Amino acid sequence: MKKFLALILALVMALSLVACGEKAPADDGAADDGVKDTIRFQIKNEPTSVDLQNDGTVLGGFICDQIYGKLVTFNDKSEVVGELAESWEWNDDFTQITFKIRENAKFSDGSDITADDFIYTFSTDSAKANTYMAPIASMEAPDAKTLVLNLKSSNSSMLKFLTTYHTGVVPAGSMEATDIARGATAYSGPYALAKWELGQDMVLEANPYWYNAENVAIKTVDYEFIADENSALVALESGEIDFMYMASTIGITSVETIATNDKLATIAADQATAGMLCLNFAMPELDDVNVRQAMNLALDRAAIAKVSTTGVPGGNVFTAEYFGDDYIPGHDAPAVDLEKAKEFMAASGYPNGFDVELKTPVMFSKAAAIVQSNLAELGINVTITEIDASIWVDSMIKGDYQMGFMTFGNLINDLTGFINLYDPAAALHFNFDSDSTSFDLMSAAFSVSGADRTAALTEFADFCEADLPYLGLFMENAIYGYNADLYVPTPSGCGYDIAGMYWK
Amino acid sequence: MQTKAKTKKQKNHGAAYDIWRSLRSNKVAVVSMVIIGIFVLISILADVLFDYETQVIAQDIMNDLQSPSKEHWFGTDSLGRDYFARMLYATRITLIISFSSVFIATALSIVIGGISAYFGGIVDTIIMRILDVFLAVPSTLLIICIVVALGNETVYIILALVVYLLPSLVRTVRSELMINMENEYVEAARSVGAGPFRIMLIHLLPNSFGAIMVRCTMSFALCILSTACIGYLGIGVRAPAPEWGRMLSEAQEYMRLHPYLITIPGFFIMIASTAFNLLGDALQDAMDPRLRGYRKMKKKVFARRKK
Amino acid sequence: MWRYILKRLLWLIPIILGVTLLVFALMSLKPGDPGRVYLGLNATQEAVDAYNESLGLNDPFFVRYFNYVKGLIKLDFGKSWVGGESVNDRIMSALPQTLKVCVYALVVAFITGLPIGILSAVKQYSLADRVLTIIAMILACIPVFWLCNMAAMLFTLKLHWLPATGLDTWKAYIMPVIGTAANTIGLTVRMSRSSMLDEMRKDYIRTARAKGAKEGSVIFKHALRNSLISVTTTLGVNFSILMGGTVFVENVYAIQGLGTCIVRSISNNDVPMLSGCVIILATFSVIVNLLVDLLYAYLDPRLRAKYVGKKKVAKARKEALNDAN
Repeated sequence: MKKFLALILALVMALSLVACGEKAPADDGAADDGVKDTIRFQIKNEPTSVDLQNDGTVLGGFICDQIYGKLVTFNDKSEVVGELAESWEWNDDFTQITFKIRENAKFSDGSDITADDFIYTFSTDSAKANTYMAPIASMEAPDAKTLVLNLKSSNSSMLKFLTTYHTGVVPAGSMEATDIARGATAYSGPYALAKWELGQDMVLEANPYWYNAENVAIKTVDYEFIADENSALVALESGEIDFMYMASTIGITSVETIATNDKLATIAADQATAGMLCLNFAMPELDDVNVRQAMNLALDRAAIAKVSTTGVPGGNVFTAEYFGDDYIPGHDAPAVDLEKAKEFMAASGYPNGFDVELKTPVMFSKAAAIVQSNLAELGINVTITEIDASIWVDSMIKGDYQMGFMTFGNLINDLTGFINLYDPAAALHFNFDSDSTSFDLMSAAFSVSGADRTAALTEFADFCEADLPYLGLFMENAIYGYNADLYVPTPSGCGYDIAGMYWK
Repeated sequence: MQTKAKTKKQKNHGAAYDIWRSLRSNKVAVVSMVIIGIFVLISILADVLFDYETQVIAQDIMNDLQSPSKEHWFGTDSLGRDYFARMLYATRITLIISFSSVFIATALSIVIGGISAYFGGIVDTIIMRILDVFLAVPSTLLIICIVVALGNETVYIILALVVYLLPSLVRTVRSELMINMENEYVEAARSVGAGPFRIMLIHLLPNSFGAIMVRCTMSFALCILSTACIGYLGIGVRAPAPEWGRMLSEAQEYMRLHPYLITIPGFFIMIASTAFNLLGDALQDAMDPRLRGYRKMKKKVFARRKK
Repeated sequence: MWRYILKRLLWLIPIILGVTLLVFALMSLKPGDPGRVYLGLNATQEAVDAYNESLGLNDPFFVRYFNYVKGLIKLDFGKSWVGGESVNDRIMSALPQTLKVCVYALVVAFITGLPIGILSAVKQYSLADRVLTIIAMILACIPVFWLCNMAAMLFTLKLHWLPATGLDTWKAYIMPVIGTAANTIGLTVRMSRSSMLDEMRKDYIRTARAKGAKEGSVIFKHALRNSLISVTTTLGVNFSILMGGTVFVENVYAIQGLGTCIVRSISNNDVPMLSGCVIILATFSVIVNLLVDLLYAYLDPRLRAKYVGKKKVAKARKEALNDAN
C-alpha cells in the first residue's frame, strides 16, 4: 500500500516537473488593459509557410500581405496606387513599365530597398513558375531606385498583377541565406515577423522603416489560432481576441450574435471570389444552350447565396462595382422565372428532362440540395454525390464530373485568368467549344486598356449571358467581427489593412 | 423467491431463462430495455411515419431554423427539413450500422478467438500480437484512418467499426473459452471423439454466451458513440442521409442561436449509449450466480439496517 | 523481474513496426495528388507528375514503406504535402501540448474516479451510490465534443470564469483537461466500483471480518489494495481513449496539439502529417501500456512471485501473514 502511494507521489512530482520544465506561458501583453497598440488577431489555422511565392495556405497569404511590401496596391476605390513605388510610366504599347521606387523605402533592418532587390526576388525559381510574374520577359535597373519591367507581350493588366503579395520584395540574396518559409531576413511591409514559435505564437511588430510608419497605429499583431468558429466567437465576446477573421469570413450565426452585442461590430466587404455551377460540355444535354438557359432561370440564387456565403447573389458575369474599371454594368443575376425556364426546356432537345450527377464537397452540400430541388421543377433529376474536398479540384481537372461547384478567386487582379478557364490548353477547363470569340477576348483583355478593354469585356459579358459557359451563383461576401473599440478601415481590393487600424 | 420456486412445478429452464428473470427484476435493466425497444421501434416505423423523399431530404429554405413547435416537434434544421423526421431516420441508420458492426465483429471474434484458444501456442501468440497492433492505435484515430483511407461509404464505416471492436471481443471470447476448456466435460467430449469445432460450438460457446453478450452490448454503445464522433468530424455517413453525429456537426454553426439543433442529437446519443451500457451492466450482474441471491439478501439486510 | 521487462521491451519493436505498417498501408489506399495541390491549378501535368515522382509516389509499396521506416528510425517523418514543411517540426511543437493535457487528464481521472468508485462500492445501494453510478454512467457515455462546447458556453460566456481558448494560464487548463477526462472518469468510477465490489465479496474478506477485523481495516488494507491492482491495468487502455478524445477537445479549445494537426490533415488530404501524428500517438500509447504492465507485474504478488526470487517471496509471505493479524 505504502509502495503504491509512493509511486503515485512520484508520478505527480514527475508531472509537476513536466509543467515547470515548459517555457513560461506566452506573454500576452495584450491581456493588460490600457495597451492600445496591440491587436490580438484570430485566424483559423497556423499557416505552414510565409514564403510569399509559395505560401501553402490561404492564411499564409494573409500574413504575407502584412509583411511584404510591393510596388503598387489597391486603394479602397479599387484604383491602383503606389506602395513602394512612388510613380510609374508605361511605354506606348504597354510592353514596358518604368517604376520609380520611393527614396525612403527601406527594409525592416534599415537597408534601402533597391531595384536590384526586386530583380532578385522576381528571378527566383518559384517566381518564374508563378503566374503573376509570368508576363515579365526581362528586367533592368538603370539606377538604384528605378526599375524597368519588359513584358513578353502587350499587357495592360500587369499593374494589377503587381498588387498581390506574390510580387512582394525580399532583400537580395536572402532566399539562400534563410528558409523563407519560416521568415525572411528582413521585411519590406508595414510589419515584420518578430516571433514565430511553431504551434504557439506568431507575432508581428511594426516595421519602423516602413515609408508610412508614423501613420501605423497598431504596433504589435498577436495571432491566435482558433479553428472552431464557436470557440472564436466566445473568445471574441469574452475579450480574449480583438478581431475574428476565421479563414475568410465568419458565418451567419456569428454575425447575428454579434449584432446583439454592443461591444462588438462587424464589417462587410465584397470579395473578388465568385461561386458558380460548372457544366461539363462533354455531356450532350448540358451542351444544349436552351437547357442552360432554362437552368439559369430556375436557380434560386438568393437561397443558394444564403447558405453558401454571407453573400449576395451573383450573376453570370463576375465583375462588380468594386472591380473598378473592369466593372461591366447591366448584367445582374436574373430572378427566378419558372415559366420562362420551362419554355426554354420545351424548346431544347430534352423537354422531358434528364438525369445528371452533381459532385459536391461537403461545404457546398446545402447549395447542392437547393440546386437539386430547383432543377427538379424542370424535370432535371439531379443526383448529389459527395466527394472529398481534397480531391474535388482534381476531379474537376480530370473532367470527371457532369456538374460541379467551383469558386474562383482573386478576380480583381486576375479576371483574365478566369477567362483562361475556357482555354482547352489550360489544366482546368470545361470542354466548352463555341464559335464565339471568347478565346480571342483573352488576348484582347491583355493587350488593350481603357475604352477598348471595356468594350472587350462588355463583349465577353454579353457572350456569357447568351451562351452561358457556366452558371453564376454568388459573389462571396466576407464579414468579420471585431471589438467595437477598434477602428477598421474599409477594405480595399487587397483585403484588410492592419496598418490602417487603430484603437479609438 | 426461493420458497416460491419450490412450490412451483420445477421446469427445466436453461441459463438464458434465469438471466432473463434476473433482468426482469432489475428496474434499471427494464428501463434500458424499454428505451432500446423504443429505438428499435422507431427505426422500423420511420418509413411509415415520414416519407423519406419529401420530408427528410427535400429542403425548404424559407422554413429554416424554426424552433420546436406543434407543427414541427423538433423544429427544422438549416435547410428547413423537419428535425423530428430526421432524428427518426437517423436512429435507424445508427442502429443498422451499429448492429451490423457488432454482429460481424462478434461472429469474427468467435472464429478468431476459437482458433486462438483451441490451438494455443504460437498461433495464439501471433493472433494476440496482431490484435495488439490494432489496439495500439487509439480507437478514434484507428477509425479515422480507415475511413479516411477507404472513403466514407457505409460499408467502410462498418468495416472500421468492426476492426475497432475486434480486439476486445476476441480477448473476451478467448479468455472465456480458455477458462471453460479446463473443465472436465471437455475432456469427456474429447474422449468420446468429438472434434474441436463441435466441442467449441456445442459445449464451450453456450457457456461463454453470457460474457459475450455483455461485451456485445458494451460494443453497441461504443459503436453509437464512434459513429457519432466520425460524423462530427465530417467523415461519417454521407449527406443527405441523416445521422446523429453528422447532424451535430452541421448544427455547430447555428449552435449559439438555435441550441435545440445540437441538444437533441446529443441527448439521443447519450441516452442510446447509456441504455446499452446499463443493459450490459445488468446482464453482467444477472449472469453472476453469486449475485442472484446475494443482491436480494443485501437489499433485505440494508433495509433492516435502515430501520 | 528483469526477464519480464526485457521480454516486454523486445515486443515493443515489432508492435510499433506493425503500427507503422498498418498506418502506411491504410494511407496508401487513399488516392492523392500532392503535386497538383502543391503546384496549383496552373501547373502543367508534366510538372505535377515530376513532382509526384520526386516524392517517390510511383514506387512500389514495399520500397516506399522501407524508405518510410528508414526515415522513421532517423526520426524523420517526411515532408507535409501542404507547403512541404517538415512534419517533424510540426509534431515536435504539437506533441507537448497534447501530452500535457492527456497526462493531466489521466491523473485527474484517477484521482477523482477511484475514491468515488470506492465510496460507491462501500456504500452500495445507498442513495449516494445510485446517484454516483448514474452520474458516472452519463459521464462515460457523453459525447466529448458536445460536452466541451457546452462547458465553454457555460464557463466562459455565461460565468466568465475560465478563458475560452489556449493553454496560457493555469485556468485555461481546466476545461480541456476535464473535457478529455470526462469519459475516463465515468469509466474509472464504474471500474473501481465493480472491482471493489468483487474484492469485497471474496472469501478472504469474509475471513478477515469473521476474525473480527475492523471494517475500516478490511476496506483499506485488504480490499483496496487488490482492487487498485486490477484498476491499474485499465490505466493503459484509458490513456489510449484519452488520446483519441484529444482530437475533439483540441478543436474546441484551440489547442495547437496533435489533434488539431490530425483534423487539418484530414481536410487537406495530407498523408505524411496524418501518418506521422497517428504513429506518434500510437507509440506513446504502446509505451504507456508497457509501463502500466510493468507496474502491474510489480504490484500483483502473483506475478511478482513468478518473476521474483525466492527470498522476496518468503518476505512477502511473511508480510501478508502479519497484515492479516
